[in-house]
Amino acid sequence: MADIYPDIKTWLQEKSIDTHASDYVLSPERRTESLRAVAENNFPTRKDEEWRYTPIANVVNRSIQSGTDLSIDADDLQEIKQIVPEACHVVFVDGQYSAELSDDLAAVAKQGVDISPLSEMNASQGQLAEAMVTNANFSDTNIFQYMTLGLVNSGLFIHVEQNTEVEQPLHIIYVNGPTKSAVVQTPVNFIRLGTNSRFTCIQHFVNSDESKAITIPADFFDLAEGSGIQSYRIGVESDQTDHISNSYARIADSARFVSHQYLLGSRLTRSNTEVLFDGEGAEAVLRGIYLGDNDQHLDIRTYVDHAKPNCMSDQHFRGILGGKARGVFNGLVMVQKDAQHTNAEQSNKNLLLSREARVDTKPQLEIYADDVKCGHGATVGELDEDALFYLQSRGIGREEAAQMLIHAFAAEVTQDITIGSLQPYILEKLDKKLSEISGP
Amino acid sequence: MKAEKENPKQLTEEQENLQKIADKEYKYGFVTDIEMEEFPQGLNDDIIRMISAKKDEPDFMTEWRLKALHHWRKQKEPRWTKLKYPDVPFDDLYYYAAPKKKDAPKSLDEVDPELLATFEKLGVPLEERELLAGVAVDAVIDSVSVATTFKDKLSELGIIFCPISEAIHDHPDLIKKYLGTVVPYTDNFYATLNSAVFSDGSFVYIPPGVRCPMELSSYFRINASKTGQFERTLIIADKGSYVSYLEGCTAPMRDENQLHAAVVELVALEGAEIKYSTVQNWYAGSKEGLGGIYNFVTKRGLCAGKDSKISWTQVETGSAITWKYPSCILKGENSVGEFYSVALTNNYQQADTGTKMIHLGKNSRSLIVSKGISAGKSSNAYRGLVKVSKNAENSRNFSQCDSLLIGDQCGAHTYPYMEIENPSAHIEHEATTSKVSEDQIFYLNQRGISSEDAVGMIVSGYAKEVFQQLPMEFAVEAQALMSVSLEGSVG
Repeated sequence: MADIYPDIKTWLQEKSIDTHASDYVLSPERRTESLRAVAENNFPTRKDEEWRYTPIANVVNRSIQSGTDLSIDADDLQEIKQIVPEACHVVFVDGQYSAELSDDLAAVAKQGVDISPLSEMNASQGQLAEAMVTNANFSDTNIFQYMTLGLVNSGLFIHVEQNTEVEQPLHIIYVNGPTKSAVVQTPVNFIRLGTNSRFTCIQHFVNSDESKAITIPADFFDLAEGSGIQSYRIGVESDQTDHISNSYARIADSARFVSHQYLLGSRLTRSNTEVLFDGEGAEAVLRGIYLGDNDQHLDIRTYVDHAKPNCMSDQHFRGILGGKARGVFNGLVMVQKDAQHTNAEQSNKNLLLSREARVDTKPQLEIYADDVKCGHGATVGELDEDALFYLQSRGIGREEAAQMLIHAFAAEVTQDITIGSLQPYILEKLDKKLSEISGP
Repeated sequence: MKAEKENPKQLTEEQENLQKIADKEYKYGFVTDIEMEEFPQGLNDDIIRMISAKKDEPDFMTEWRLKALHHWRKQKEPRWTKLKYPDVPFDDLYYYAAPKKKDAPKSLDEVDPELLATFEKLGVPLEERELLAGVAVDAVIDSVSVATTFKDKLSELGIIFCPISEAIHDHPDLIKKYLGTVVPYTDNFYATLNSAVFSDGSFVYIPPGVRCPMELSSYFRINASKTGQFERTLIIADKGSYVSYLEGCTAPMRDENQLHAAVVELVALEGAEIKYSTVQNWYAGSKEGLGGIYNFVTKRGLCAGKDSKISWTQVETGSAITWKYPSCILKGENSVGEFYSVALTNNYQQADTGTKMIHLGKNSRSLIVSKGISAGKSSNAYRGLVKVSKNAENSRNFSQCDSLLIGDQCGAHTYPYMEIENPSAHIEHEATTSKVSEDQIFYLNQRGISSEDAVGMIVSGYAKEVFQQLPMEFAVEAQALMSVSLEGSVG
């Protein structure tokens, strides 16, 4: 039977004393330390500069339930898997790894990639995971990271062997069944790429309309010399789901980190991506779209730390906001003192589709080296009247013309999707959602 | 990179040149030896009453000051910037200092000759300006206005241009109506402090339909050791009027940090236009980062009426610390706000400056052009806000924030905030960061221009958009200031 707690604080207190220590996958010290931090820290308020535009009172005050019946519609799941049919599918239900619903991971190992659920990690993998957490130096440390680390009992440890190009993408699906109160899920993934290896990973957060959840995931990436990853994060959760994620990527010499984020669902999403250049000649490409309607609140934060010279970062995020939705972009490019010949670009464009929609954007640069090329730009506006008129004068209805323009606005980002079947899926989702937003 | 390796000689020359700017002495560093009248150190109700009594202020002013002081006691010093500095010992400061005097001088003849000599050294010969430049100068040494020229000519048009202490006596209605309406005494830590202890400053009122025939100008100067300067400026442009106001600053060399917390309030009524220009050249501290002025200023303009316009232009080269965000509240329909800024930091200077454009009225427009130049070990940040409220239909903003770095020890930061609540808004922000490239210098070298001059040219070109906004006399001074600060800083 599911226990119900009035809010997340009460739930956390119970959970901390709880007996789950035996399930804990990182070191006992990590658990003690993280839980202490959870107890000591408060939830961020709008007085915290990094959370200025994202109030989380509604997340903190939700009633929580622990334990679920794990009932998942097999047909629905099959449909989700078919979005990337060629992929290796791994399924998490309410944050717990499901061997039954997932593909055979032993088969994947033949391609030179070791994918283990955290509960099956061996000692040396555990140490590596531990080290990744220790080395992650988040610029925005908050209680959610400590929660994830203090409670973690599921997720994946992924290691791609050196000089291996894994052709089959990994499709991680996070689903929830229908529940009465919110389920808290805190999956953590440790993704390590060996020298000159290549990997593609899709994280797909999806649940049914009746699902209530608070998703608090964390990802730790470690890219060795010359390696490259395409990392996708697709958020299409229900409007009763809150989602607060933290990702940290360390990139070594000549490695390439490409991140795509499509935030379409949830009630509130806060996505924090931090990148550390720990080697020269490396590249980070961050792409994203946030599309909000009704009362949705979508917040993207990025922090790109150019700690080494000769690296390139390129960020491009676009927001489309209708209804009473709010969008936030809060990005910072840090160029450290010795990071000469840095090339950093940061762009954020926003479309407001309704009178009640709102956007707050803060593209920031902090530069301590002189021989660098850094630029950023941001725009906010509505659909271009002239462009609408142009299309209308050619016999296209106003509604349809607006759809075309918004579609094109989004397509400039989606064109960078490298997985064939994923692009139509995203665009279809976008179009479907756009058609529900009342036109201008 | 290649050029560096092949030509190590040039590099050393560049470094020597860099050293040269670092060694540049502050040209205006001297102390006027005038007998000062000082109040006891510290701040309490009695001090406020003393300041108020000394100035023979009406009761409403004393009350206002006291309210501000009581509010200030509850406020916390803001520390959210990137600025690093030791705590200011607010309780050890002198809150009032004035040249000792028997009677208020009626003409230049009555002004202390030593004081006049000070202005002479600063390059502000009042008599000369009176005759040649056609500029009315309201000169402030420490806290009290010493001489005001051109008053007669201005009063013919109904323009009031006088020290604010005088305006409190002679025009209490205007003071009551406008003082604290743009920057209320509760606004922020430094503005509240200023409201409590402000000593003097300028007051300008332009009557309806009048175009002020000359550039109004005021030189502020910090003199007595340990004296915080708390100027208060209030400019009101009534319907359909126009005024251009210039503020220029120099301060003598001191090893102790000096606090400056000024407040400037501008009010533009329907169809009025105010142009406010600043050249700030206060003592920036020694090359080791000792001393220098702490400059915490609150400047804000209210475009109250339809079709009103406020334009801020600033050239900031001085002060150890600059904390300053000249802002516009665009309340009137079709109102326009502009902000042009060049901020140059060198050695250990720190600047955190920018603007706020608050769009409240329909069709309001704003333009931001900010050019930051960092050299030495300095840190230079642009921090700005563009806010479009729900009812500000069709508002427009364009922001351009560029940074130029000279040397690899400095920092240049950009923190733009955009808060948009109306879909018809059109907001664009662009920023770039670059350095003076070797190619550019080489190109000019090739044409017989020395590296030093080349950097000067490149930087002038970079900041040209802003200099063009300055009135002529100021533009010349600003160019000169830039080249003084940048001579030889080949990057």
